[in-house]
Amino acid sequence: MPEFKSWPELSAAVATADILAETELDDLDSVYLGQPYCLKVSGNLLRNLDELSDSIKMIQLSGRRAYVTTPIIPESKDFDSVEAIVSRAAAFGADAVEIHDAGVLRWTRKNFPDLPVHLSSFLNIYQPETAIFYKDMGVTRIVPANELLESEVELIKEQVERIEFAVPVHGSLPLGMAYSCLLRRNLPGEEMDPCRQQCAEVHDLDMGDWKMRCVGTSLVSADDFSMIEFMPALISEGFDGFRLETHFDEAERISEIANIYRNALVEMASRGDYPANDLKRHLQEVCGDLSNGWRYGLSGKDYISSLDEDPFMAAKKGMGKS
Amino acid sequence: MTKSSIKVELMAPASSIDTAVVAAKNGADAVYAGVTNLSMRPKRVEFKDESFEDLINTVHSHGSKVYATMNICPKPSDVENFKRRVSEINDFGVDAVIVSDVGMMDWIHKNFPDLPIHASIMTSIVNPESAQFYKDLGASVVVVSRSLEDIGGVEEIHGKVDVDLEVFVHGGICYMFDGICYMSSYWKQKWDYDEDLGDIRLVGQNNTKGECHLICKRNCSLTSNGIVKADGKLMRRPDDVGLGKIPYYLKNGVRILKIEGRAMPAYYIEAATKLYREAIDLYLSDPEKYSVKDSWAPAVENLIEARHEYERKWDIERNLQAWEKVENT
Repeated sequence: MPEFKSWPELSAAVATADILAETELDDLDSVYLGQPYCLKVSGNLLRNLDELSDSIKMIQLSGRRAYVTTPIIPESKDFDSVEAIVSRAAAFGADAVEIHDAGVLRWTRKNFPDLPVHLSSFLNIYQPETAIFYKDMGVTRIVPANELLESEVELIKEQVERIEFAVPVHGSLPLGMAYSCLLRRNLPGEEMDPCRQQCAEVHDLDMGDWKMRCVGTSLVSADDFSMIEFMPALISEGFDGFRLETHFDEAERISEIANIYRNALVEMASRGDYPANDLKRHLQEVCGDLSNGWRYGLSGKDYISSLDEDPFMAAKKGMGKS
Repeated sequence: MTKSSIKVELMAPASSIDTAVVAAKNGADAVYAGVTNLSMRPKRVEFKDESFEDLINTVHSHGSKVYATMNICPKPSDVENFKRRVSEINDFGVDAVIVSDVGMMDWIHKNFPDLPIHASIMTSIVNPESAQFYKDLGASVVVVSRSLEDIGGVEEIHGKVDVDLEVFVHGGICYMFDGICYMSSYWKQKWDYDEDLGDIRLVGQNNTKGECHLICKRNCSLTSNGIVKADGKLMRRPDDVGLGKIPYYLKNGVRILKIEGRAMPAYYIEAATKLYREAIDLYLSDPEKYSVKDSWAPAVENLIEARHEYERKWDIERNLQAWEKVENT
């Protein structure tokens, strides 16, 4: 069995109350509530604050932690919404708020200094001193930048104490936050209000020989990111949180993904090993192709298996030959 | 006629000492220039160790300032070099550093309290609280995001935060908010040899090495269930032409108007600097009577065409060829 400090918390992101109601929570330790990419998404808990309050209570009554996310990059005109979301999260005892923007962080620390804060990968934590700065601001949990190599994340973790580290283990990783909705901008007749929720359908942005998934105001990985083959390493590294980035998923899919990762954790805990290939196959049946390249020095869209050669060492050998 | 007392700087890009001189001679109050491996542009337009001192001395001799662009998000292995270069260019007499990483900004402010810091466009500041966050960190100037959907946001920030603002007034514009775009390394990232390092390194990351592959300028198609719903350059935004926005900017706390284009050729930098110098001077001479002159239209069209040319003939091809070369070895 790998050495570990403690078993990581498994969390999923849930966008709406309807999805939450149908999601099987048994396999989860916590839930990030709300869809931070776009407030216009129908049913988004971030614009239905009474439903948000009820959802916090419901999750906590089930013995799980309820976190509330916030809009990713709110302009001045949207800042009132941010204040309302964070205030509601604090009033209803959310276990933390998830923040993606420096301004939202400042406002939250100023107005709710006792409210735990998790920072997302959008805050670009690429090196230890950035993590230390945020820790000194009172942030309780961070997600290092998704582009970082495994070894670079390890280095940051070694140098920064007394803050929790979380890492995505599965789901849609963001590739950028757009200034406007790509769907409304490009689909005929969609530019006018009210939004017709075209993002409810799956759209791809096909670049020729590769693609991204278009979710409106953002582009995310076309294939789900997955660390299913690397769970022992992540547990050994002592991450506090394993994140399922399921902001765009329906309840059934979230439940199935959570179950697969929970099975991996349970097997690891009980017998020190787990059927990685079986679980990977199961994931592929649910999600299709997978990706995880960034963490190992490949393109983000690529997938590396735990059985493959280290890309860095392979490149070293290649350089030697030339 | 009522002359304005507003103090405003026109900042132009410098990719070499020659282009810096061109900018200064054509009316740039300041130039911004990348420090090798630490700015968001390719190495060919950045300045190595001693060449930055030459740049500063040359530009100062023309009466203009030099701002050092160090706006990558440094990885752990970049931090030591980052700090060394800050110390070095501070000794050279640089007028400010343009930074995005909060850890580095904090370090600079504590170790070089007299060195002005500009919070880079990479910080994507779109609300007053963000501007105040970076001011608290020591920034004397904050760059307002060029992706602001509501231009009124500039006024909002100015009304609530006592800090000088900078905006991009002309040039290419990304589809994604600056600093939170990871498309390039999602598409292509590979280990390759780096002559400066004498070793292999990861090539392809935008935020950390400025290796943007202009994904958002390319042709693509939007599909759903296999059906093409739209195609073309769906993410490409028109160049930002800020001649008409100068009065608004200057009334709302903007003290630096920046021309984008460190990777652009000298003739572009010359033409853009000349055009915006004339516009700013016209405004300052009599703000009430300022309007965009019809006679500027050909210059604007030439600048836009020059950028299209650049995208068509230079960067995209260069990147594709470079990648093909890497992939074929």
